Amino acid sequence: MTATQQPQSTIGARRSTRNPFVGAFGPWFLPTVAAIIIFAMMVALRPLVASPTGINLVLAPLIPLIFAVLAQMFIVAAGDIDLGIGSFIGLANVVIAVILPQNLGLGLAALVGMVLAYAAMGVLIAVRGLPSIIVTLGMSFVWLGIAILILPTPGGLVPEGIVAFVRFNPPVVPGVIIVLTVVTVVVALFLHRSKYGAVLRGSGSNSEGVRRAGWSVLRAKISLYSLAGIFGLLSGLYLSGQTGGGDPYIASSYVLLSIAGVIVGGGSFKGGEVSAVGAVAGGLVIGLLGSLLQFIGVSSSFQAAAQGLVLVLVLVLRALVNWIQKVRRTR
Amino acid sequence: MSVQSSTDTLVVQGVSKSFGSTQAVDDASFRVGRGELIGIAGHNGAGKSTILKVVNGTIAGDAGTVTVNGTQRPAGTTLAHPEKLGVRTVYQELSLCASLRVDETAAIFDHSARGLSWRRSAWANLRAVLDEMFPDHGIRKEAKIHELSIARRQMIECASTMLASTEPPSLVILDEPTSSLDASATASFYAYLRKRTSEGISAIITTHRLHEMIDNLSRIYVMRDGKVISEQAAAEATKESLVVAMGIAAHESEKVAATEPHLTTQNAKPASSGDVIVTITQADDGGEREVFEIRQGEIIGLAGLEGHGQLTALEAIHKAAARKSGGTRAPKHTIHHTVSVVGDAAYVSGDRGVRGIFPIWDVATNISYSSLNNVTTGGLINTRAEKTLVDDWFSRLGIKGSPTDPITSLSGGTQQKALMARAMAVGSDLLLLEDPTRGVDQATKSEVYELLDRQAADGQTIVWYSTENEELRNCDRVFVFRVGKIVATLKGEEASEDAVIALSFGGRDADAAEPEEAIR
Repeated sequence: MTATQQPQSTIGARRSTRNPFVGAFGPWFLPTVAAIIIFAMMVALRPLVASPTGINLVLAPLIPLIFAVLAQMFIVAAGDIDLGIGSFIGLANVVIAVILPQNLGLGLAALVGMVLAYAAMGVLIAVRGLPSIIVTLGMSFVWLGIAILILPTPGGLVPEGIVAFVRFNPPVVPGVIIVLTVVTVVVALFLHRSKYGAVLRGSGSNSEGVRRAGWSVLRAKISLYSLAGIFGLLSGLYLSGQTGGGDPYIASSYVLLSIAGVIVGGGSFKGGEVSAVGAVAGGLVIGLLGSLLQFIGVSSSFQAAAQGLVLVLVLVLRALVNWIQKVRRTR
Repeated sequence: MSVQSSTDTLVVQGVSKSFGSTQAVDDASFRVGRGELIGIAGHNGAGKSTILKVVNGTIAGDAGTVTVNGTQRPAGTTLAHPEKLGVRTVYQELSLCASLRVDETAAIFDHSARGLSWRRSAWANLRAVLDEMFPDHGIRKEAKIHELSIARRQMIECASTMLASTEPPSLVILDEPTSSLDASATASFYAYLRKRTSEGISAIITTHRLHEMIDNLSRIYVMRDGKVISEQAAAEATKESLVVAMGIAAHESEKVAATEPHLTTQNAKPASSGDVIVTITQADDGGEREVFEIRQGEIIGLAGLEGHGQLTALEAIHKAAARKSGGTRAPKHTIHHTVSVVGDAAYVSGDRGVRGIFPIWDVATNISYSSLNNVTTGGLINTRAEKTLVDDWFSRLGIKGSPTDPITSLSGGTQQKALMARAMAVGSDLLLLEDPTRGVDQATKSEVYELLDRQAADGQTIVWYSTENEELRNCDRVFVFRVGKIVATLKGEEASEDAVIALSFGGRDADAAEPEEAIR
């Protein structure tokens, strides 16, 4: 090993792809900067936002969305799209608010079963070669239907323990910051620093290549879909704790928001091209934008359009960065 | 070469494989001894890639057996994980994951890299191979695969097959491994291969660069029409002997006697005296300009090995064509050619699934789509005129069934005919065909040839890129390409397979072969 270390410097100098611009600014860079800018603007408008209470108030409602974005990120990493994550989260919310308080065992079994159902979806998509959009869209109605059967109108009562866990807020460091940091670090380490994480990303990028290298593409698909199911459950858990009740439709807007979050966060529909840090930042950008527009006093009728415009702007910037990188590389 | 059969790494016996009506591999047998470096030579579609895919278990053969390291299996079985038998393969289509870093890619191949430092140890292993195989590789571990040039990706693929991993390689299959490598990289690659084979690894190589085989391998099998028809020791083989072996068609018995392709001319003049439709200018070796003219009513074939510039030329002609019949446009420049065209052009792609048919429409709409301008009055489609047009082409092509049948209900060959009808119905000056008979049965092929003859007689000029050398005889003239340039123009009747093969391999084929990146 040490012997081969030596020639690197000469080789690198001769015909190198070295370019600090490429390595330093990964796909996570732009969304992270955007999230920080948006947050800074909010602080400038209302300095109280920067206080521990303020941070909690602004960020806590975004935690379920960020979990949904991460769930979507695993599906996008597989080269697929999940249109069912919103009603899946709604079902998780309903199970936690209605079944769990009545029958702990049944409730837990239902939650585990939901993750298994996600894994089964991955098997179906991988083995039968079905389009993920269709399968997940169809399943979204199944999730919603079951949720409505359990709870026709919003109601139920989330167990005290879950509420306390979700609203846990230690005095010095805001609870949301702890949750965000832990989740981001764990997911990023797994996806970008573990070997199986590389296999998972590779399977979405070129499944045939990964298979030829001796890995099971089916297992990779199952892993990614199970992870998506688990993060969907976490999103439902936080929603339940924050609202205290159940509502089948509670997360219906998350379907498209989560996709937007992944894409803003540096992901690509080509598959395999995702970033955990970017996805969290993408979720923050999308969530914080709404609050910022409210702060500025943009009338609610314009908010959706303004939010959309900013998202397009981020994507244009990203295309620009990619283009610059490409130009520099080919030179 | 007399290697004991008990020490053979691979024995292939009587393997056959057909795709539909095409017999891709026909009763092929060969063997590779331990520590032997052998080659499989053959022209386009000789069955090289197919037999290798049967060997490594990617596709199931129809008959025969494959024995790897003494373990025999029927060729009809596929293997999910050939690497567990020690069989590693580099395919022509690259199989790296574009979104991964180089060291992550190394780890995916290197199953022995585990633990916290998996990336570092995998990269160390891969780099040890890379540094020796391609001393100038210049690949950094942080680079993502999609940022690398094709040549560097190919280097990583080649090097990855030599990793020890958990199951060391015993048989390495390299399908065109050097196609985008330059001369020095190729030389160090073979030097490394020879070193590893002396340690007991066996390797099979296919390449169109014949001198590479002669210089570096021990034995060469020649395939032709799916059969292994010749085995030559590399020390005794010459480029001529290989080309002759490749060119002797079993089904062209009258040709067997003729070992030397005798050509009256390699610079055939246009057959017709019509107007010049296409002008292709290229600089020859001495810097002189050579001009190739295609005249009205000619059928011109573009021949040569796949990827030697025929498609580039065909696409340049398409781009240089004017919008209107008889019009002109600025000439198009490619690396080797300047192309100018008088008149408009219609293009038929052989890749009908991707670039051709509209799968949800019926046959009639598929045929009339490109000619809608001709049957439109006042901005609306004149359905009667459309019907006349479609019926006319239906009878000319002899398509069975009704124009309102969905296009997907037709056989592949008939779909291809419908596609050609779409292009011909436009009535353009020029008809450009990209391998139109790929995967089409013989009967339909003959119908296509007849159709083309009739179109040419009506004054349409046809430029035809084909990978099937036999059908080039249906052309008035054939331009043979080598390394991006036109090296000969043959009269149609002289464009035998032997002649085309000899010309497409002739000269210093490999040294000048272009890495793909140079074309981009």
